[in-house]
Amino acid sequence: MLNRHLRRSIIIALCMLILPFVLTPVLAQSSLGIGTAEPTFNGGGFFSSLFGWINAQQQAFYRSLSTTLKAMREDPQQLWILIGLSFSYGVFHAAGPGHGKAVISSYVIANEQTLRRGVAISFMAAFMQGAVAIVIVGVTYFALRGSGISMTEATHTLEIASYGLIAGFGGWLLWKKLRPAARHQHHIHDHGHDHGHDHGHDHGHGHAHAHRHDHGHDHEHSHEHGHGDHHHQGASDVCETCGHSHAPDPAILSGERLKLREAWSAIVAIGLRPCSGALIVLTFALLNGLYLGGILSVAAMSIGTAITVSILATLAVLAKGVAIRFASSQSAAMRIGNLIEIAGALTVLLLGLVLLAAALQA
Amino acid sequence: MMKHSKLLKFGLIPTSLLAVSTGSALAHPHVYAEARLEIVIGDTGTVEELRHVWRFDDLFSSTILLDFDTNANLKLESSELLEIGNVVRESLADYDYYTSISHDGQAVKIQPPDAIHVDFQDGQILMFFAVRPETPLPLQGLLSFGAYDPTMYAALDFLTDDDLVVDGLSPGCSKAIIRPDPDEVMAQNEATLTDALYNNPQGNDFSKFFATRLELTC
Repeated sequence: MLNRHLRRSIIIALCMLILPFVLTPVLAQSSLGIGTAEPTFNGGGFFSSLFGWINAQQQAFYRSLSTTLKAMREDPQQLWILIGLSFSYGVFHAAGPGHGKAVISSYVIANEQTLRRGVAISFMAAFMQGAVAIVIVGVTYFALRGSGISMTEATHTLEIASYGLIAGFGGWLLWKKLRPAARHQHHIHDHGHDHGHDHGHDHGHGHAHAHRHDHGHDHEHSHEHGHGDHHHQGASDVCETCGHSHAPDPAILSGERLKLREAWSAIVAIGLRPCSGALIVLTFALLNGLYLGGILSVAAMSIGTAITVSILATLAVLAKGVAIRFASSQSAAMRIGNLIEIAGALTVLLLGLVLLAAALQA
Repeated sequence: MMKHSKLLKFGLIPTSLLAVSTGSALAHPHVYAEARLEIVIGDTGTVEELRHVWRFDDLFSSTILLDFDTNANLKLESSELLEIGNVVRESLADYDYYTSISHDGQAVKIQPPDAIHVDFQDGQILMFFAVRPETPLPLQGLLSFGAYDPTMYAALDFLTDDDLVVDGLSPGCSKAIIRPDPDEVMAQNEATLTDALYNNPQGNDFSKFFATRLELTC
């Protein structure tokens, strides 16, 4: 039914859409061995120069932030400058490579999300990131100091949890998308949904093992090999699921409450891992007694981040709409919509796995 | 309609994108340090050692204070500073101690430093250490020295040309400090950079194109 050419061009268009997001993870551990680094992505070619420019802007903001924070020790009036700078830092930070916007954009693509909901999720996730940063630094300072648990370790633990949740969330989205798709297939066997469910679980475990294995014996190259492994596994698992599980379960697929819970899962999965910039600024602020400044700075960063992520998520939703409108018929439109949603879910899953792999290697 | 092959193909597209882009890395720096590099020429006319001094920014330094303050007194004592030095030394071993030396375009191997000394002054972490070439490095041809983080986690800045110095340079050599202009580098090395982005699994080494370096021509 779906025109072959059209399908191909849609796939290409989709890749263009995903390309900026599906990029390389960098070491979760810093090269210096101390301090927190967050795995980020980078694209080649065009995107590297774009990110390069964003990097330069960020550096400039970071330097100004650092100067302003230092100045605030003597002159509290600098607070307004600090808030402005933090906001700009948030805007630029979110525009650079990072996990939050990629996951949110893919998620809103994977779901029939309204723009309003996409924007709301972006804001909630950004605020949660800010709140988690405040909690981490506060707990480290007031409770963990001298306990042998460092802020870096605490952050790393949350990071692994966050990426694990993102991967799990992506897997669940994909599962949810593929089940009805599989239902449309002609060869329906009644294997029941228990079967399919098990598959989903095994899938996740398999990946986790693969990571640890790589981690164990090949530090230098495990990045690449690790990825290769996932993809093969990922792809074949997708197929297996597609071929064998067909149990429709409308009760699970509907319901506003579920949607809300799903949105919250996305928010928590993303928000658990705060941005390093916020942690660094807060630590410095706390050590210098600039409590209000630190908290307002992080709040401003969160708002800035939320705005950028919202814009990106909006673009993703609009692009999906355009792709669907290009379809020749209504059934083609549905199919394209489905494909895009599956790709979105797959992207969330892959992002989570790649980031998790990077984080576990640290 | 969702046949295996289609799904496979579909799944492979984002997947292969991931694979292709693996290796490129342009993390944004979270750490800034003012750097100083002193190249010491020995009596025998060979490069004896490279002395690094890095002064890290206040913000990063404060996070390190919080992380390594094991006795919770908001100060870093000698044992805590020692621990930082050990962690950094171990970690930097994978990154040539942020040191790059080349002799007529060939990379020169370096010996690990005995220790990385760490101090905490005015809220800033200070690191200093020396590395030596693995084999004697005579002052001949074109020698290039630089200090940068190939992963771009830390940005080392040589604020002035006086931060790159040579001790005991013989009169027959000329010294030049090169601060590459990023746009020019991009234009001149497009092919090499693209190649480095896609083919080098460790990826990051293209940052050397942008790093400040000191060149000696003898």
